[in-house]
Amino acid sequence: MEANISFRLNGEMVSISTDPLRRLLDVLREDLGCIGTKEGCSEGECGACSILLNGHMVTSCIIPVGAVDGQDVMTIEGVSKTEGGKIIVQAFADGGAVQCGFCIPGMVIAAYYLLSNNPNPTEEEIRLGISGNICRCTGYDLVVESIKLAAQRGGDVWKR
Amino acid sequence: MAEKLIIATTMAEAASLKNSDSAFLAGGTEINRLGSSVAAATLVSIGRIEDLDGISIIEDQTPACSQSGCSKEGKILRIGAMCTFQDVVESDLVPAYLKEACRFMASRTKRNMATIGGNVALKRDDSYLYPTLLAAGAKLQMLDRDGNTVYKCAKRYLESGDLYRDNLIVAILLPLDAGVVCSKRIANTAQSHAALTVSVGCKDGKVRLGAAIKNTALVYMAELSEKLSSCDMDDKEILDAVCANKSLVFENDIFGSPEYKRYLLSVIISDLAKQAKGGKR
Repeated sequence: MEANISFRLNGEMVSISTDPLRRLLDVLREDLGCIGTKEGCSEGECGACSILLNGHMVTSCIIPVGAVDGQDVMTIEGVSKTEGGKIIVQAFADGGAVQCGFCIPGMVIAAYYLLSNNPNPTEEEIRLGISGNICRCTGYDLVVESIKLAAQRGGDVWKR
Repeated sequence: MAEKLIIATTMAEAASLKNSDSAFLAGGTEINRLGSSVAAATLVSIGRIEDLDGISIIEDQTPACSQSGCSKEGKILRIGAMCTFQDVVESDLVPAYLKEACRFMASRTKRNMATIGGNVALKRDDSYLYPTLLAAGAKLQMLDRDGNTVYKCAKRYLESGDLYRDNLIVAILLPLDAGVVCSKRIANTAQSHAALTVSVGCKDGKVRLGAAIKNTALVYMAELSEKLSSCDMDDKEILDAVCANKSLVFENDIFGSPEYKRYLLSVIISDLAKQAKGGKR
């Protein structure tokens, strides 16, 4: 059974008619072209499908799209266009954080969420901040260093 | 596979929609995941019911439960069922022992989604929270399909099987002074399902012992709690008591052999009981 569902996606209102029980991840990727959001475990554990829902980092693979009607969704496509997102993406590139790259959209979302709430995180806080994001290449150290770099480069951007 | 999603706006509406073919959709970390243990034709989303949110200190309106030995308190801590694990971790009102139990869920992303009420309702044998709630003497506030408020202590709710399955969990209620509550979780990795989660609480000499044993049981260990309340027991005596408990059937599985699990359970109980009875977290 289809329903009309509207929500704010990366700052723009979108409306779709679809089964409200479809996973938000599938709607983002298949209907709305946000293919930066990846599917990993489908259990809400790996963080590859991380998005921001009303400013909170969540995994889109375990959210039915009907539950986000009227809510605010931000994907990696939206985050990477923000000032802070651009700093993180560049820091990840400069810091060599990307190996296969599959987990990176989720990692960038996690970094953005962390730095937006804590502009000067300690290394432990960074590791806790990416605790919901699993990298099968096990390249965590370079991700952590890149987030440190983003924190330094961002400066006041993270304090706004 | 669910076929229908209903977004409830009031507690009464949500409670009235619950039946054997429907399930409450709280944080969704269990019900929506691949391989979920929950099957329902209709999902009743309770995420927009404000009365299920919030953490506050309130007057205790719960009845005393002589059967479970739950006393009536002056004031209690109320944690709305839809509070996420992260809400609890960040609250200034929540005691450290419960924050620790919430941090057993290692993923920050998952803590942003998973709710207290959802974790309690699942009664999983690898529950993050339930052993700690048992050890702390927590109570549950629920709403039945007819709109009646029901209070049950966590122990009675656990032991009642499916009796309250269709009730909406409204809040978790904790005594402001639960004594000393100590918990330990054993898992291969922080992200893995726990082989064991054990919690021991001690207040005024009375010991409460809750355990989640993967593929065995989520259980309040009443006999051992009584024994530990009345005397000190060494490791061997606790191991003997665990082995003598015929209601606990330990599986030989990926989490370990029955002998290993019994040993692990007993030494953890021993360590935590010493801490709790000694007043140390």
